[in-house]
Amino acid sequence: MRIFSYFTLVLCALYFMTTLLNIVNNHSNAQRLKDSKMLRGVQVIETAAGELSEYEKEEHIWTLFKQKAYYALKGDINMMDITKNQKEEVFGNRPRLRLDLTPYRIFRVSPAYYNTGDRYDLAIESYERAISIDPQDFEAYITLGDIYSFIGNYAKAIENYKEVLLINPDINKLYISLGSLYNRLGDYDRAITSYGEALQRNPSFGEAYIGLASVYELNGKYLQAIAYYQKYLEINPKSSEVYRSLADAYGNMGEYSKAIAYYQRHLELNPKSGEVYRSLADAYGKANDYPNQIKCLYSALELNPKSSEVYRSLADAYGNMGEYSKEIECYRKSVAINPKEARAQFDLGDAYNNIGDIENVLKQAKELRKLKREDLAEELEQAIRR
Amino acid sequence: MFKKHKYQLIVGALVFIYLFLVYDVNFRGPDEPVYFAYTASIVKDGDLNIINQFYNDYGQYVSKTYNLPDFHNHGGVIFWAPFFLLGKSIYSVADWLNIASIADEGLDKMIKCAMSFSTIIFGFFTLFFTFLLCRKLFSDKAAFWSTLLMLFATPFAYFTLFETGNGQIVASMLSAILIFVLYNYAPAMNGKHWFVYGMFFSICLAVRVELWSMFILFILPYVLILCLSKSIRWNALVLLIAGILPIFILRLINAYLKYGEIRPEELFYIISFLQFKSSYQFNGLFSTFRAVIYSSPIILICFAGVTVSVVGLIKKILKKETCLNECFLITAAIYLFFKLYSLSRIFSPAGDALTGRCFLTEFTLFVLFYGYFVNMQKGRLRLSWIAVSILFMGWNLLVIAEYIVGFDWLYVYSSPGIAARIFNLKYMLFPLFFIKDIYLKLSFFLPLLAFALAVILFLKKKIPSLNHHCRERR
Repeated sequence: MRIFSYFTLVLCALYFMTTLLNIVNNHSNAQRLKDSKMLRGVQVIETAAGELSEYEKEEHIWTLFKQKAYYALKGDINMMDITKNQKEEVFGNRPRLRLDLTPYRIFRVSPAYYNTGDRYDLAIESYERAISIDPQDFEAYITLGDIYSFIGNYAKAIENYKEVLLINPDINKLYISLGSLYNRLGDYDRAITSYGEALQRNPSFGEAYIGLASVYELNGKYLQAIAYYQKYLEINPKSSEVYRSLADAYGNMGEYSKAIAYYQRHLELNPKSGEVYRSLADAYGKANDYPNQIKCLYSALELNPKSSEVYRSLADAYGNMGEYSKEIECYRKSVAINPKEARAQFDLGDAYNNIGDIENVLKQAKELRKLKREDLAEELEQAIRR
Repeated sequence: MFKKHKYQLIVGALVFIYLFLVYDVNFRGPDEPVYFAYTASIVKDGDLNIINQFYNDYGQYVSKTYNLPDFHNHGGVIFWAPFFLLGKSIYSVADWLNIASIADEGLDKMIKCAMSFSTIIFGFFTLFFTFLLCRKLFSDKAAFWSTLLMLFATPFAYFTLFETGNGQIVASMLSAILIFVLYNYAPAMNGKHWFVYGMFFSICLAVRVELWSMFILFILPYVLILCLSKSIRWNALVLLIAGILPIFILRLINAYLKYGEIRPEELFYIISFLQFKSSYQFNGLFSTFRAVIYSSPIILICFAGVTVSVVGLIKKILKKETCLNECFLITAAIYLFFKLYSLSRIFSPAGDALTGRCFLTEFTLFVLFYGYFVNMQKGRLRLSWIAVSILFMGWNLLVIAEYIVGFDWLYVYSSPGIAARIFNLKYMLFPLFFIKDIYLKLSFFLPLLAFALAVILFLKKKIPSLNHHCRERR
């Protein structure tokens, strides 16, 4: 009993501390969130006495939707109608705020574990049956859209999502799904329209900005893409991935100083990103700033010391600076890590050729022949002759 | 002590090792986003406002205080936060020491691994307290096998090992402790103890508010019986209720901070019942869709245990013998029946999960009744009941396997025969028998174990010196 008493007192102390922390921080944190752009356009909901909040109603709408789907699949039209009426009695024609996109665990929870692809047709059949019984069951359309999207039938997925929006145009996330599907199909105009629609309904819908930016970027319209990435950053200024996308876009436009600045911002937020060190190094290289390029590549090597590609990039940088001995050393390290990489073997041979080390060039040509790259070996031999 | 309990300790260690090797590190589960968000919020922001954690999903609706008006209980954070911090600390140390193999896994994965680990710790303690309680009523062997069998014959193993992101397992541990203390110590508890018991119960409420029904239908009636039988004094009842108040007041403060008005989580359930009682007409006991008895038919044997205890009670009343044990079992049974009946009328009350999830807090009681019944049987009859139980366990695993892959929904439309379904058991192999992410688990468990050993060694070193000091003083 003594242990139980001590245990209880510890638990109570912990709960007291939790409450104390909540009292101290809750208001100031909420104020900070209110002031930030993150909660721009939010709706403050009142909770009247004896009433559920809008958020709490979700739980029940979810149950009633599922109950309706259950009876629909079972073919019990009477019970389905009763549930439908109950939902409408309490909630009217109110749409759901939250979308449950995991009605079928088969597709979400364990797709990596269980190869159940042969069951998709059954699932589709079930949902089509549900729709034939209740053509207003937009959740069934959503799941059908999800399934079709999952199995790569994008046109059918779009068709189903559109049906949903005809019934309930307030499901904002679907505009994003539609935009993404149009994007995949290469129908960029429609993708832009879908993302635009999502933004019209909720101007702080970050995913829509990302979607729009990606469409413009795919079309080479980097300025527009950049503008949308910037808008996203106004909502979520700590998204390291968007800084990276911005940097890539500036890099594609040839504005390397801006690209460098954004890569650096990404690395401030996510310093363990080896790939971004390489992109940053690449941007420095294109801006002819070789010392910084080398510095970045060494940072990338710290994160991944066995990257033959980073050694190759380092060798290139040293080569551009005219430091041939270091260039050769780096190529050798690259080749030591990955001896089957023909391009690295060739570059090493080429570096030897630059300093007139014919013997080693021939050795490299031999290595290339072992890798069955006759073409590169011959190219090296021709370089000696030249 | 070790020699005396050698067998139990070894088996306990083996069960723990099994749970450790097999548990899923992803902290997935029906309520995972909410509980994870509450824990992250208290650790990172120092508050219980999860609006910033949930911004992407619910950003457009906030309460008057700019909090997320969510009805889920937040009390679990006092159990999860230490594990959250543990995962975070180990990641930070690994990052600082440049241990790429751990740092590369990422902070999020490390924290989720540690939080999933907490679920198996709580699950293990539930089993432990259940076993301790059962051995008071029947033999050690029967208590052990009943606990183990019920672990797999109900969804308890699944929610401990695979869908680890749930509040029920921690609540089941608390409920097991509540029941264990009530059965073991209640008649001997003084006023202070009853107050502490009330405080403990209010912590349980902060974790799962549904436990009120356990209080009203089981604990309170049993305490009343104890009072009426003059085993305890009437002031125990007052002190028990007084013990609930301090934490309840703290909960009201948290509710005020969340909603901008005093609105405890209990209200959600009361209003829901009043508004939706007309829709509560589902057959959640025997329906083929996630129903409790359909999924875990072993509950039928537990009911047989209830019948036996009722007969026992009547016999003792007729003989005018003390029947506190039977009263304890009967009040527990009334509570079980009420909960089964009321929840079974709601369609899928556990959300997008097995309905059995709602009954994990009653795991200890189910084991108790099961063991009570099987232990009463003799010879071949007992063997046949055990054989039936094993069959029921297999059936439970099959239903869970079908639920994992989504066949439960597909079978609403049409279900194939048992011969075709039996092969679905293969989907249960992964959650229950595959060793998962062992390197990640060891990377945080070994430092923890080393720390625990260091503390034990330190204390061992200290204790002789203390004893020596005492001897000197004498």
